[in-house]
Amino acid sequence: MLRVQDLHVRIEDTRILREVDLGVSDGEIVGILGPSGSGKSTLLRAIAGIIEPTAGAIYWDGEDITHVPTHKRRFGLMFQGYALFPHLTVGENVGFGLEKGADGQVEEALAWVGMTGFAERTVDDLSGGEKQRVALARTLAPRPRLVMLDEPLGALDRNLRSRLVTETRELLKDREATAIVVTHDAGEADAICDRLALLREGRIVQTGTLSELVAAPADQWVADFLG
Amino acid sequence: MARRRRFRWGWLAVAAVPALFLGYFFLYPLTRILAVGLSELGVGASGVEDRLFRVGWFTFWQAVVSTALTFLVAAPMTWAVGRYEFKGRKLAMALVTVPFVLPTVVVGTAFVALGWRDSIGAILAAHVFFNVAVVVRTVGSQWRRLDPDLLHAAASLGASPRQVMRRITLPLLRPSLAAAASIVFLFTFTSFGVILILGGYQFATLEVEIYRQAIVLFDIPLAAVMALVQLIGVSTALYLYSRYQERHSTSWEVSSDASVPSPTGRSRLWVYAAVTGTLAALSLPLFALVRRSMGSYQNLFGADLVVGDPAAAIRNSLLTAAVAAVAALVVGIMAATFVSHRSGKLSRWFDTTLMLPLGTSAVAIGLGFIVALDWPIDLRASLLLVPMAHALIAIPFVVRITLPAMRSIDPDLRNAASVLGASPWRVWRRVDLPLVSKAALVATGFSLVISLGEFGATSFVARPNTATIPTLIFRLLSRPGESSFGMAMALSVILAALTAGIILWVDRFRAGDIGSF
Repeated sequence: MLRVQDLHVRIEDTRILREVDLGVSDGEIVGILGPSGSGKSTLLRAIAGIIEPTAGAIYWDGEDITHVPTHKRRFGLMFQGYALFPHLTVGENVGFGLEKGADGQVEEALAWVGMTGFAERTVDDLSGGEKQRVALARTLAPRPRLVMLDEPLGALDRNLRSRLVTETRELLKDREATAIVVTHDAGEADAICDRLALLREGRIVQTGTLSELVAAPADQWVADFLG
Repeated sequence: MARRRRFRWGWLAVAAVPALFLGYFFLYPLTRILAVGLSELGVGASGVEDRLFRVGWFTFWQAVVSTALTFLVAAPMTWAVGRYEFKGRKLAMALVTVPFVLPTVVVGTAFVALGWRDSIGAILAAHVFFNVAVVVRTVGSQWRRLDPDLLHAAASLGASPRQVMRRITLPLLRPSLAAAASIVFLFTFTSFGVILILGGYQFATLEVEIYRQAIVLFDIPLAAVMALVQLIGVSTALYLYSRYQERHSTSWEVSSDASVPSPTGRSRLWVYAAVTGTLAALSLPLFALVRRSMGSYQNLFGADLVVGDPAAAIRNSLLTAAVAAVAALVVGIMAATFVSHRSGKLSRWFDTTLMLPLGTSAVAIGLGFIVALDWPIDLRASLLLVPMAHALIAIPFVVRITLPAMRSIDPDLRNAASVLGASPWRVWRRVDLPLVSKAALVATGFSLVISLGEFGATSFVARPNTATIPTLIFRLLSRPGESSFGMAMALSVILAALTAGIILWVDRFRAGDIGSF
């Protein structure tokens, strides 16, 4: 399980995250919900080791991993802009985190997201929805111990989103993945996640299921944000 | 629970190679020149100041006149390519750039072929020939991006074409005019090969005088004093230019090239006259060079020349260029990697230091090598000296070409690779390297061209038995007799052909304009 303890991130004199405490149990999907600029992506990047926290600690199964380099954490992060490698094919992208010659695993991962037969395509040829699926397959293929998705459906149109919400949850639950999903859409977060954490100006203001949060908002801001 | 930020030793290693290279081959020799020069200034030998003043003054005014003449000659074609879109414009732009990429020794030899030698006129004409492209390209490209509606607005308010030019176009073009003027001034102020070949010692600039004092008269301290004066001159010019750029960097509405009109009626005639006239004038010295070279190729490889073996010089030049390009690429790409990955003062300071060799004259670099590189071991007789001097000159170009490509890589591509388990080395190899490979090939071409044509530093550090093509051309030109002349012309044509071949090869990888230049 993941435990984030009293995490602070400051970038060039701006405090992005403060006093963040967060736990994610094995097999649980936690949603980080908040308006843009609240520090959601920064939190994922700090957990992934891309951004160094100013203070605080990150534990995995009780082990302090705060200073373990990104490439040794065995976490998966799907980036908001997908970050697909433009010079590699779809298959090479998905296979990037796998051992060499793991073509079978690449095909399997592509099958999870309904992209069988796309391995030889170039990334430029893909539509927005296809890119999203490839990025998801690439993140899941190495079977990371923690899956993090940053606005996984952000760039897609309404119809596609409502379909993919269900698919994403099923995909994560089928693999019994421990996951954190960042989004700014409360309905979407509720549909994918088991539990939500509300982030405001770098602080977690309340956690719980959507119905709990709506029933007993911690303050006026939470009530307004959840509408 | 504050912890120390983890220090990444890998970055120290990446920065160390370029820092050591630049430190040993550039900053250390420069410091030695400064030390020798300053101590000599204190001695104040009589007559030195007089000579220094005379040479310094000539260097300055010939650069000013060269710059003014270059603008005058370049004006018609700049107007044509800046103002209009027409058939063959791209070809014309490529052709006008040919003189600029030619080695200075070839340019000098071409004017000798025209029969212009030992006169200030020949020097000025060669400087104009060499630099027309700087004005046409720099000013022309900014002109094309001016919003035509600004000019239309002025006209609708009653301004005549002449008033539009004076009150709108020229003021808006001022940044590129200043940039072009600074570049041409700098090139002509530090001009060496052209002046040594066309003017000899009677029209010595600081560069030529440094060469004469150090190589002909063996007065290294006096050469150091002159190098010092020259460094001060160049630094002042660069400083004034950057101050100017800071104060005048206004932005305005720019439009795309698409809105540039085609010429009609009378202007059509003027456009074609301006372009063909300029190109015809520029082609004259080259035609003369090729014509005079005819019949000398056989001599070149047949006769046993006292001054050196041309075949050996060609081999030598190619080998030197290959070693220099590899060194420049390794050092330059490591430097660009460091600068593009790290932010903050150190990275900016590093970036600036990397550009310094560009503002330093090649002659000063050559002098620095022979003054300083006897420590810790005497490298002055080493065969590596020439390629290292060339690499030093090529590194700023490698950095300027590869850095924009590296900076344009989305950092999340690297983060994604890292999250997927790739070590920093693997991230660099699998993400950075493939994405900058095109720029790296262009940089390789530039390094090869720079090395093949380099004359200033080489004339100091090349040994008699390891002549390169440019140094052998100079030796042939210095010998009396029609046959030596012809062979110098023939060797110049070969050097020009090699240069052109590399430029054409590089051009295949240039999607748009990579980097600055």
